[in-house]
Amino acid sequence: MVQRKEEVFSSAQKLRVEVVSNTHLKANFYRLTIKTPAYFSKAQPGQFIHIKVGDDFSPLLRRPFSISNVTSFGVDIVYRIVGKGTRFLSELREGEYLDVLGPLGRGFSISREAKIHILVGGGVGVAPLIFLARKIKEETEGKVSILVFLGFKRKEEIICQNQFTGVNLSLHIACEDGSYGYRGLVSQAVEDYLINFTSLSGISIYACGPVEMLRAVARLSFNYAISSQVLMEEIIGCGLGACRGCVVRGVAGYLRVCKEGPVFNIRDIAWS
Amino acid sequence: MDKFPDVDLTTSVGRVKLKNPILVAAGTFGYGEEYSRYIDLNILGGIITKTITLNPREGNPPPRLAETPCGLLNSIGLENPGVDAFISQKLPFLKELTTAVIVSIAGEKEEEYLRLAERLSKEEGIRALEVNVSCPNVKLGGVALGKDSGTVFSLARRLKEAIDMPFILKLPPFVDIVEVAQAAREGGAEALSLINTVPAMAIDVERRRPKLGNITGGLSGPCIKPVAVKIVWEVTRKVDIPVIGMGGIMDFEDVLEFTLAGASAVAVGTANFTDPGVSVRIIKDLKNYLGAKNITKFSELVGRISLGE
Ligand SMILES: Cc1cc2nc3c(=O)[nH]c(=O)nc-3n(C[C@H](O)[C@H](O)[C@H](O)COP(=O)(O)OP(=O)(O)OC[C@H]3O[C@@H](n4cnc5c(N)ncnc54)[C@H](O)[C@@H]3O)c2cc1C
Ligand SMILES: Cc1cc2nc3c(=O)[nH]c(=O)nc-3n(C[C@H](O)[C@H](O)[C@H](O)COP(=O)(O)O)c2cc1C
Ligand code: FES
Repeated sequence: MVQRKEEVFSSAQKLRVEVVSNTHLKANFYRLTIKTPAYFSKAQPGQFIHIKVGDDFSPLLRRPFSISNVTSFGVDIVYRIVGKGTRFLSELREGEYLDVLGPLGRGFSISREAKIHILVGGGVGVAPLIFLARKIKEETEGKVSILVFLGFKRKEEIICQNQFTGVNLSLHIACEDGSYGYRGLVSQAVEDYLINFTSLSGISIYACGPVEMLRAVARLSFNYAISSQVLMEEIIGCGLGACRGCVVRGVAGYLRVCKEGPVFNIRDIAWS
Repeated sequence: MDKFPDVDLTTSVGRVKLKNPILVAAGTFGYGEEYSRYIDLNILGGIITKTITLNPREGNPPPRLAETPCGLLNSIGLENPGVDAFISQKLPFLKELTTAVIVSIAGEKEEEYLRLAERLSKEEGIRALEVNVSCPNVKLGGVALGKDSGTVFSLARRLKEAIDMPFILKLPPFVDIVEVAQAAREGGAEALSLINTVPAMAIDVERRRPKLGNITGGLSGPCIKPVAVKIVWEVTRKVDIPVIGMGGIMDFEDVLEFTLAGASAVAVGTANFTDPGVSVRIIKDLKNYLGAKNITKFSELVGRISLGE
């Protein structure tokens, strides 16, 4: 295998991307749009970009973010400020440059058989589902129904709900404190909804959010024999599959979030 | 463009000749292929591959990484597919490269190192072995082997008798380093790699739990650089053996620090995570720096620290 120089250098140059916009959504949530090279149009929902945060070597590691949309402007991410790296992102202005690797990892695979696609998001986990809902619509040409369940702590943290629209799409919001929509956990909202169904065949679930939420989704999927995929998070080092620092426990051994994941079939994960 | 084509970056680590002194460190660069979309691997002085063992190892429970100020804690635990899979799946790619391929090996006991070395020394495309007796994340072998000069001497001697391929011993920090280095030299090691990660730990105070699944791990990155420079300086001053220096190298000035301290070559580790192109940039920067200073041969700088006497 001889390396193709052209490809090597072109991809290396493309690491520097321009900030198109960086919008404050609400509370500590933001949406960043970056101008990306053409090959990003092949990105899949669930894939992530690995961003260098800071101009020097502090923080030392890059930070991973799910692609929340690919548009003609470039790529969007939706993020929440939780520490130094995300604070750095929130201070970026239009026209500034960012060092980005990606798209990385393996995204959601859209079920060909399913007639009902259930998307479950918790908090900032809503991000990749925006992109996923759009792709499902495109790939199935409106012949399926899409149910989106989003869970938040409280009303003030509800983000991106207006990103989910369409004739075959219905949106359900849960707030843990009952301040809006369903009162309680989003996984419970999904389960309460499923009880109304007479048949559970032809359903596929896609979930992204805190690990407790994913665990609950996995449990209900096993109980109702529904096929499900979840987006798992771990601390990401190289992001390229080289260091084996990002593993989660799988039923047949450790799995790399950045390579075999971040999206996994619930059957491949060791949940206990 | 190459502004200073006359600057000679070649160096040698014992019998191992390198086109430039910049290698990438074991465990931070996989088996090369993972980075091939980001850099031209043939620009590198060499690639030290992720440590392999005789049998596959599944590694330690997650979380395996924790960031610390200017540092990274890891407890990978030598996860690797084993030597057979390495030879059949990883080596074919590496063989095609013009850069020096150095294969890192580890075992739980002397016999395993010998069997690995004998096996790999028969393969084409491997320039040298790096013998890891310094992993802080495994219960058997690892640091336990590398801290005892008697064990190190015996291992080096038996490897020397068994194979003709050059082998480099990678030693742990915080041992009686001069004595262990001397033992490695007398046993027949071609060179030393200094240093592996520094045993360390971090605690999540909210959850009152260690941040790593393995409880403790190894610290790398800029925060360990001064520790590494001192060890390289001390060893090369007192023991007549070439050294590959590593620990926190982020840019060409860090490389020069190790060079002046006595390292004949260096390896870039954690910095590859921050920027997969860092090693290539360092090579270019180093060449430009030497050119601007009218230094025509990199190797002339090795060990040229001035102590003001
Ligand atoms: C595949 C993947 C997709 C993600 N997508 C999104 C997203 O779309 N939107 C969003 O807001 N967040 C996302 N995250 C989480 C995001 O990466 C972290 O919130 C971010 O790294 C925090 O950085 P910080 O410096 O602000 O916080 P820090 O102060 O460094 O840490 C706060 C917490 O963030 C997590 N974290 C820190 N460093 C890393 C790292 N290198 N890799 C992974 N997690 C880390 C840890 O749990 C840590 O406790 C994703 C994570 C993964 C693994
Ligand atoms: C994630 C990770 C994995 C590593 N794995 C290995 C390994 O398999 N074998 C080894 O000899 N050293 C291993 N090391 C140590 C590095 O090769 C190097 O000695 C050390 O990290 C210091 O250099 P740095 O600060 O530039 O990273 C590893 C380091 C890191 C960060
Ligand atoms: S982050 Fe290095 S293997 Fe996934």
